[in-house]
Amino acid sequence: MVGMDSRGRVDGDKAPSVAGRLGLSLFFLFFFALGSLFELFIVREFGRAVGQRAWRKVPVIGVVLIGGAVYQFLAIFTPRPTLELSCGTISLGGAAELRWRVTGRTSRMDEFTVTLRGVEEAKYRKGTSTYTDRNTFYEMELYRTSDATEIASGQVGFVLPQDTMHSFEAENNRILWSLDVHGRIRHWPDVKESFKVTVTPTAA
Amino acid sequence: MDKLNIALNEDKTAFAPRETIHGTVQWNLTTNPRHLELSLFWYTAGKGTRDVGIVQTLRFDEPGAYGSKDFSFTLPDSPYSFSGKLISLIWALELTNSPGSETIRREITLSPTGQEIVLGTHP
Repeated sequence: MVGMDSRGRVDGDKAPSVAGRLGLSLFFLFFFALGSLFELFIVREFGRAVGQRAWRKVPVIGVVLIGGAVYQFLAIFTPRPTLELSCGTISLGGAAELRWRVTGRTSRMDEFTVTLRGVEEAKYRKGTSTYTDRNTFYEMELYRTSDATEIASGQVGFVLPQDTMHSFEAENNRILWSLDVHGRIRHWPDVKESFKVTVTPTAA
Repeated sequence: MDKLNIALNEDKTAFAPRETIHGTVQWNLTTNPRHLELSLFWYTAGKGTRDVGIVQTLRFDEPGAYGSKDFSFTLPDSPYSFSGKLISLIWALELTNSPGSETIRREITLSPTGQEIVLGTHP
């Protein structure tokens, strides 16, 4: 999740980067190559009987790794959204205007939605592991369109509810608000970006 | 009387942000404490590991074995008292003596609505 700056703007470049996705693609390819080498080693050193058992697993793992690499590589070319809020923070019961711009081949997008979401997040330890549970307590669809022009850029005004909880962050427990962008693209990784919003207590 | 007591004016337990809490602490102990401490704080309960935020503490030095003292705290504007599926946030006043292990806690609500905010689950 990416946070808005004091002007309420987040650039697409601050979201998961091209370099990051390329790195993930190479990561998956590396482990696919490693697994293939490992399988060859097993077959050669321990004989066909043992190799066959390992060999059966490699195609399944290989498909997953190759799939992951392809998905991350394709996601590099996925359109990138930028959001700008009329104010850096919004108070409960307050109004704001949201503008967006999507760069890249937006004509490929079937549908574009912007959703305001409020989530409880609770972190706890069980043994030596740490878990985080989440519960969505508020969800409001702000905008939905299939029109390419509106997807490329647009704006919408909205009002936050009054009778709910403002943003809250402690070490283990948080109330988080976000603007979630979802662009559906057929036969291609969807656009999915989440932008953190600071919701303050009701203005005095 | 219980050994320690926190009495709130007009028995008011729900407060708006930035409102002032007025009350009286009372004590009746078998020994003279070095001091009593009254704290205003919030804490979380529920699924997540507990978080605590101490907002203000008043200390009464050499209070004697028994007595009473008025106090007041001005509340901040947040966080609100709330109860969700995973997390609750509760405000309280707590009086303790030192040395000693006596303690008493009184829960209050901080909310613009007069009641804790209830968070549901969006389907």
